[in-house]
Amino acid sequence: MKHAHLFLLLLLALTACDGAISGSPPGTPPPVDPPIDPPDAGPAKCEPGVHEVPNLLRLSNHEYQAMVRDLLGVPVSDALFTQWTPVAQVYGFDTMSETRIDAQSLEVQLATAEALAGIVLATPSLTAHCPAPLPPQTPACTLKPTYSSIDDFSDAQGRDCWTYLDSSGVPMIFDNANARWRKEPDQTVLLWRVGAHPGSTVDAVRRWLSPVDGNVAITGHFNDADPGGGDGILAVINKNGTQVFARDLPNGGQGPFSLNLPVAKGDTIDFVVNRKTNPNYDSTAFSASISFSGIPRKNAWAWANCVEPLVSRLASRAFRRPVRADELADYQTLFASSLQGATAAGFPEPVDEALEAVLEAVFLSPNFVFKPELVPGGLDPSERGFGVASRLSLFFRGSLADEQLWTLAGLGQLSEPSAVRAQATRLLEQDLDRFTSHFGGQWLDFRDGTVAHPLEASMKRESRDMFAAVLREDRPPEQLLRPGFTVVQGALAQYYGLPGSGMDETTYRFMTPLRGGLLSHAFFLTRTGSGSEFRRPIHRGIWVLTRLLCRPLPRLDPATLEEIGNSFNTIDRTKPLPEQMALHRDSSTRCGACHASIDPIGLALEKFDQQGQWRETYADGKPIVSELELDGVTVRDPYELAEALEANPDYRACVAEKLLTFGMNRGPLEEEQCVAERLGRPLDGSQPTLKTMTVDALMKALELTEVSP
Amino acid sequence: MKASRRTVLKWLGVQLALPAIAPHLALGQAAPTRKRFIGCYVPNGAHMPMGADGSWNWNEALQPLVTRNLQANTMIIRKLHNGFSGIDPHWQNCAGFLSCQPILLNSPGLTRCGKTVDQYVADRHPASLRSLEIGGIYYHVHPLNDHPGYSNDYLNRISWQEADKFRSPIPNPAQLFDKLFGGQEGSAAQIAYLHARKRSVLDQLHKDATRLSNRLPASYRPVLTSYMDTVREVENGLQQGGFTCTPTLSRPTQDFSAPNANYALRFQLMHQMIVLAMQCGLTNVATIMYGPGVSEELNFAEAIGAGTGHHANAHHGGSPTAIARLKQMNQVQVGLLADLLDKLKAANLLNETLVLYGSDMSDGNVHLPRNLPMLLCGAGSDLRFGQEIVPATERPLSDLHLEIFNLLNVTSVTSFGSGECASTGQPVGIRV
Repeated sequence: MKHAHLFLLLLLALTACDGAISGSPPGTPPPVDPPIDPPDAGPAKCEPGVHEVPNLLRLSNHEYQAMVRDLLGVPVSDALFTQWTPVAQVYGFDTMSETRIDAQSLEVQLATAEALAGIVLATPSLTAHCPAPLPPQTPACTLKPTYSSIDDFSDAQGRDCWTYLDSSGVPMIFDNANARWRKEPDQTVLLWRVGAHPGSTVDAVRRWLSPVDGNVAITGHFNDADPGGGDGILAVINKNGTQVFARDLPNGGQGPFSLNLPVAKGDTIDFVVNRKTNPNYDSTAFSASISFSGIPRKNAWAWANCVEPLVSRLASRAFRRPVRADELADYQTLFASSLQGATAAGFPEPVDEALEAVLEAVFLSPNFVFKPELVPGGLDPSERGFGVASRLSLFFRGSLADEQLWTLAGLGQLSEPSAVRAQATRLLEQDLDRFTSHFGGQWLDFRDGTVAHPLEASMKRESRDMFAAVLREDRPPEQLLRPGFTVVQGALAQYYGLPGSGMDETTYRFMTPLRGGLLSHAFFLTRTGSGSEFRRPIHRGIWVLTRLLCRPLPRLDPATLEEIGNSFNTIDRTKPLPEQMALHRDSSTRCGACHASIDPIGLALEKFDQQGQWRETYADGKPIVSELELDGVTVRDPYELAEALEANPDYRACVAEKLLTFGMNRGPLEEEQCVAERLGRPLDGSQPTLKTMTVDALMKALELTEVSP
Repeated sequence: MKASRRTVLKWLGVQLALPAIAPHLALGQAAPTRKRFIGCYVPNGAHMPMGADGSWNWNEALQPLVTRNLQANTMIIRKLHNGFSGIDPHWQNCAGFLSCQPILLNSPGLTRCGKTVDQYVADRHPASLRSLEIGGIYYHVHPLNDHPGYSNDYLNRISWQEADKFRSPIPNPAQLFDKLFGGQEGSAAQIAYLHARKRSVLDQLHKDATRLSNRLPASYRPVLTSYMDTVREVENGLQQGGFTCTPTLSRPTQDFSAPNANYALRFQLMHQMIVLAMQCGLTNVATIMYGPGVSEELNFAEAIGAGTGHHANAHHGGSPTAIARLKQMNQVQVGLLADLLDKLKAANLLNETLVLYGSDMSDGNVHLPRNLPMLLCGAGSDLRFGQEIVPATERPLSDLHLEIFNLLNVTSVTSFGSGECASTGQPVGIRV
């Protein structure tokens, strides 16, 4: 296929494989003839205009998680994200989706934000700038939010902070038979669940002890319950012996009370019934309810001295530009109203509750979960440096800026291309592992792809480590196909039959021409190896065409689908697989157009079995032979295939196109086709390494999608 | 971690007595008042060679319904088609199962199909929970089966609230349990505070989105407008709480992290919760995906033994073993429908509910989206339950959708679907 078709196909995906399949869906524009370069007129111009990212994109789930971890600097469990709605890949990457957030997804995000706020509160280093919380107190007796003289009544002194005394301070004795407290020898001094009776010389006293420092709201009543005679009683409440309430009740009188008092740990509140002049007819109905709230340990945490610095830092980094004044004012209001509500609702640490509200609002803000810095209007002109910093960070780190980049953005030192390039180079070296997973892992599938094999982790790791090595060692992209070495753990080395390998998890680097290139990786081979005998070579062929040569296949129209369906019945399954597959290429131009490219690749890889192990023949002893041509080059085995791909001009352009697409955050336009080609093969004849291409592609991507002021 | 004490209290307030068992409609009486809808999707068709009726009959695929005495609550509807030429039905007829609208291709950043039947019903019969969506694990199509421009979302969502906004199914019974029955500890004042605080946070998100939207050119705003609608929907859910729905099961603890582990149990538990939510009046609408489109990973090993996955098996290529296995797969999934119908029946909800069960294609071997395997289930003598409905000519699936609208008193929709799949408005023949 000619290069000129490449981008057109990406855009329209109408026809491919030289246009053999016809039939476009209604509403799509007709195919446009590819431009023809005039012969020998020197290098054609390649000056596509700027096209901004056309959509307001969301952070991918991977980006969100990476940012949260960078933001908090503490471990954050993967479990917080397992219920998140997956974000589909677009042009092979999950970083450029604008799918809508539905209610179920938002509810899941809310739960995560709540948990993240909990992590912030449980991480003292994040609030180290706030006033030190009051030291924790050991309660003097059982700490409860509410004490009730009736519900708490028991036969044990001190239980639930209550003791039962006479007014001389002598503890009373529990009378099991009558289920009440009494004194000796004056047995008229009594305390029972709902009442009290004074003695002739001393009073009946219920004492409540404050478990810790705090505030109490006390409500209840003393009522003379025996109005048959006598002179009534005197009802008194003392705090630490000092009277805070007194009511002289006449015979049959009522004495309700309602008090609010500060208390310190160990303070006593005595509820006293006194006989006045005589103890006759003095049975007194009594109840007291004490609502207790301790002094919050974070009482001194206020907006200015604690919350504002924390929220300002988190929001600025999360939004990838300094938090704006109106946003901060909103957060201050939210904090104040939440604090007031939490205090009124009786939470032990109202500041925590209020802080949680603000943190949740930051963690889920559209300024965080969308990427407004990529689109017009998203940033103020004064914030443009932060936009550049974010573009670099999203590309290399899949996350937010590191300290150095953030500082440079703040100093306005990211306006010169040379400064940006220097940072790009630095970030690629510093965050090479992140970039490997984020870009390489999506392009070559080893980040999210799975295979059902005991060595799955080792297999994926081989692909990852080899990609990282080619990048780190500044090798050309061709060495992804034929590096001359591989990096494997012991068990995988043994699986490959490489010499001298153990079963441990150490990673070994083997210099070998047989293993190491992408096409010989067990991960790729197993990932594409399952299914019927037919599917394996087809899958491998499609994988190579789409990922390494950027040749997407067309949609299957109904006529083709029908032909595929019918073909099942015309295959002679007794023949060797290559002969069976010849039917694809020979039966019609409709099938042959694509299979002319798919089959040479897939059949050349047949010497690797479905799990990536080498074999000379099929299980039934039939030979593995293929002599097909890919773009005019005969490819008989995996090594010839790797050589052919390496020499294929589409390969370098494809690597560049993947990098460019990833950097632009949008699909490439037809007019940008030449950009990818020149990134792969610059006009000066140089052959840039993968590392150089990566930096060059990002610089070009920034230029092609620059947001106009 | 502090967050552990918090699970969200969903339905605070008035204790609702479960509805007293309504008197059964005697056969021969007038049509029941229907207000509930459940749409059930299965991928990859059945053994229906080149669109023939094949094994989609009472004796084979539908045997589980007969065994459980549910034939009289089910009708088979023939000759319905869905889909658009040139668009792979795996994607198209999953996303478009309940709308008969084409999926948007080649703009993969945004998924777009059409507002679905269930969501129109939800508009007409509102409840605290607009609708419930359940399914299995999100299916990331094998990159090799992928077509450029086809989003995986089309394989994983059958409910679309708006043309560009799908509703994500809940894959895990424990997650559904928390959504319906999750409670919160604390005093009444504290719980009220936490609700109010959540609303304040949502208000702040809405405000941020508004502010951001105002900064951007109009073409960038739709995603934020949609986001703001979502914020309001979640907020309304908090405000409208009015029920305490007492669970009839404990929070599921089984492992549902892989598609094939506890496959049937996953749905049996979620059926129980959907039926309970309907009994409590929490919702009137649900959709169920018994598998994502393609479903290469599902192999139903627990029921029929390990072997080829659903999709590969549906491309049986004429192999008798594969065809036998495909028939077993159909029975496993129809068995799930039987479980759902049993539970609706036991809760006495079948009278007021229509359950649509269907697939994206008939013959999965050749991707044929004609004479789709399609069932309509419920109760009531006004409809031809227990029978096979065979329209005189092939009809778009949207004609059946229209019948459903009619039966559920959704008067706002008078034509449905588009293009090749636009409704004709002619009766399908489901009425007596």
